[in-house]
Amino acid sequence: MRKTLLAAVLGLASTTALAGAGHGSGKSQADAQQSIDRTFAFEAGDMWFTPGKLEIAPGETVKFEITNAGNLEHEFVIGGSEDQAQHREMMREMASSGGHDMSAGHHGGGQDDAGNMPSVTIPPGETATLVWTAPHNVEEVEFACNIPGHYEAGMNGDIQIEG
Amino acid sequence: MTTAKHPALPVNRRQVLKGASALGLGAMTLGLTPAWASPWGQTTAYPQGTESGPEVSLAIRRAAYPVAGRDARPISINGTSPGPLIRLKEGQDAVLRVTNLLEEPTSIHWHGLILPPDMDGVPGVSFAGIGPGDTFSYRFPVRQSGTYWYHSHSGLQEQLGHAGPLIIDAAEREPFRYDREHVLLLTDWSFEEPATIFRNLKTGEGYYNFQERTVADFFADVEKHGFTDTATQRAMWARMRMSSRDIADVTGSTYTYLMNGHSPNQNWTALFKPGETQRLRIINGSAMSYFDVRIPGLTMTVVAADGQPVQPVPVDEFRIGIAETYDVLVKPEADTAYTLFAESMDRSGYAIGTLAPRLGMAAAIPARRRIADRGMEAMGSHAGMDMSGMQTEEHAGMMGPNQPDSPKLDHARMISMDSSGMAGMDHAGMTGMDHAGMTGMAAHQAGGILPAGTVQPGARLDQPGIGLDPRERRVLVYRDLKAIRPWPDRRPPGRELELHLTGNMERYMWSFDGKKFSEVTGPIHFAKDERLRLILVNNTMMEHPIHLHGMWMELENGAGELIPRKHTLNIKPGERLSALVTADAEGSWAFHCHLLYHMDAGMFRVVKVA
Repeated sequence: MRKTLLAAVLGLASTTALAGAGHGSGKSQADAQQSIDRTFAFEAGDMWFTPGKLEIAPGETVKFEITNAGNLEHEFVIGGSEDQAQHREMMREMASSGGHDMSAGHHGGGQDDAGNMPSVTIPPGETATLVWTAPHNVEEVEFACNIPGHYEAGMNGDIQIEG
Repeated sequence: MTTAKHPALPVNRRQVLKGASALGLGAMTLGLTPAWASPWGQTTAYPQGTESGPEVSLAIRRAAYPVAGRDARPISINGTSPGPLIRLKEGQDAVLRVTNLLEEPTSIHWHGLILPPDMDGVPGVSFAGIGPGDTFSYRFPVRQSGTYWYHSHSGLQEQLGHAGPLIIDAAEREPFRYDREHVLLLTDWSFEEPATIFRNLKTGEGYYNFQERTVADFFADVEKHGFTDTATQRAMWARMRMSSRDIADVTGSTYTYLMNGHSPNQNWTALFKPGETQRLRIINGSAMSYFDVRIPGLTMTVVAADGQPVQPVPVDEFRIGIAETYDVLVKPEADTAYTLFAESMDRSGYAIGTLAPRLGMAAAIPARRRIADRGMEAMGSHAGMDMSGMQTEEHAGMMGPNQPDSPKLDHARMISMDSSGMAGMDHAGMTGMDHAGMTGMAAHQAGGILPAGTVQPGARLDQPGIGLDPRERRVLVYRDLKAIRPWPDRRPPGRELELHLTGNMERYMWSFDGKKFSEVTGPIHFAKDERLRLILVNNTMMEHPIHLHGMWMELENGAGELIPRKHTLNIKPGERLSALVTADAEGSWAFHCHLLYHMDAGMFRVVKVA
């Protein structure tokens, strides 16, 4: 379902206004403030996401409910492939500068530092939500987990923005 | 069930090999469709053909067969050397019939597989061996998945190409995704008979080492380090009856390093479509050679070690010990060729192949690195260790707390001293990085048992090893290996068993605790179902890949409950590391160094679980 009016209002603001939404509990304040066009139940595992591909209309506001069915911490980040690659490189450097620190907790406290990209970190066994409005000026973005190695092993997918 | 590659006309074999297998399309071109299929839809290619389970027949024969384009007489398996890829599926009951067409007994050991003790294929331990003309049927349930290999466990036959890949497809989804896979089996071929190589090693360990330091090197060192330091170092090495350039016993002076049976000139090629994720299953099936593997221009994401899944680690290079396997993912995006480069650890040669979107392509071969000098790493000289302290014999004795009772082994004594030096170094390195390790060190000194998963003092698990510079590129280290979920047995170790890797280089004697296999009176005992900690202390100046049959070794690398499990552990010179073992496999099992000539020289024990 496409809501043209909402899209016009939220289109460009989405990445900044909603970047932090969904951290922590399943009920984010975004739920109350805006209407959700669609909800996607996502599963993150070791090392995969299902579903692996999405089609979302420009301006559509969607809610991702991501359940971590794996044994390891994962993140869910939405952004262009170049931004994702940059974020990945940064996280890899952080991991190796820590002298091969074995813990996966290189980004502390559930707050995912993914630059300007909307993102959420999901501990094993938990569910997190992220509300996101598809922009009008981009045709395709990626969703990804950029914890070192996870993207390469298969934790990535495409969102086609068309409608 | 069996689809073997038997070229009807021997005259054709060479053309067939050149025309088809060399292109990485062996199985397909010859009309042998792999009988396996994965839910992820990868295709595969292995030039020596594929035998798919659950029932496989293998014929072992010594035959004229070209290697590296020259006439040779390797041991072939179903007509090829190295042998065909054996493909099983988790959950199958495998039946592997091995017919011996040699004039001597033979055997096949399924390396890394957990199976009944009488199916493990070690003559004198698991069974009597397979006599000439006889057929032995191996039968076992397949209860694991991943990348493994198989090889002869009789004498020095493995050196003659009596080995091949063994792939087990997983019953459930694996923790990674890919589009296409390639198997890369690395071996070291010699046109000399293995017995001749062994005799030469016995005659003089440095026989194949043409990289000995020369007078010119000496003066270069004097210029760099000054006369006293240089002379001191030289004296030290002389006392250990070693050369600091003993990186490998057997080198490229006799070996041709092969990738899937192809020499560097034959340039084995694996094909990809740009943008596809490739799974490379890399197996070190060599007799004596460690390799450093990289693909210039591509990051490799390590997803499995010794067949077991690990949390993915992106690296630029990794060292693979003899008998180890690593699975890596690469995603070549460009429509160009990449070099699959496996440089021997001693830098005396390399195995090479090409990963390309089309046939007939090649990429640049990386510049060869210079041979490393053991003096740097093994002696810890860069840590400012006081070399002059090594001059006095009593000092050495004093510093060797862990040495076995073997006064005749100069080598072992000297290295014990070194190993304590290394422990000190690591200790410093651990500060602020691994607090568990620090407390562990204290516990160790107090005589307690360290918590499960803790790194042993003296381990160098965060060092990639000699000749590899982590500042140059990102190199895999054992510290990086983490399981995805804990292994079933979470009990702490009930006891510790410490074994020393010992040797006398000059006499080419290799042993555990100073005793060759021929000198020990009985097996090492594990109590059935006990959980124990195996501590391995390398008192020699060489790396040793230590392999336990029948049971996993959970490498205590500091990853807590996510320590990885392996069938083969590389232990660096002077290093001390540990593994947890669940002794659930009743029976007798081989335990040995996987350097073929070291095993044959006596670095071999039987472990009895009862």
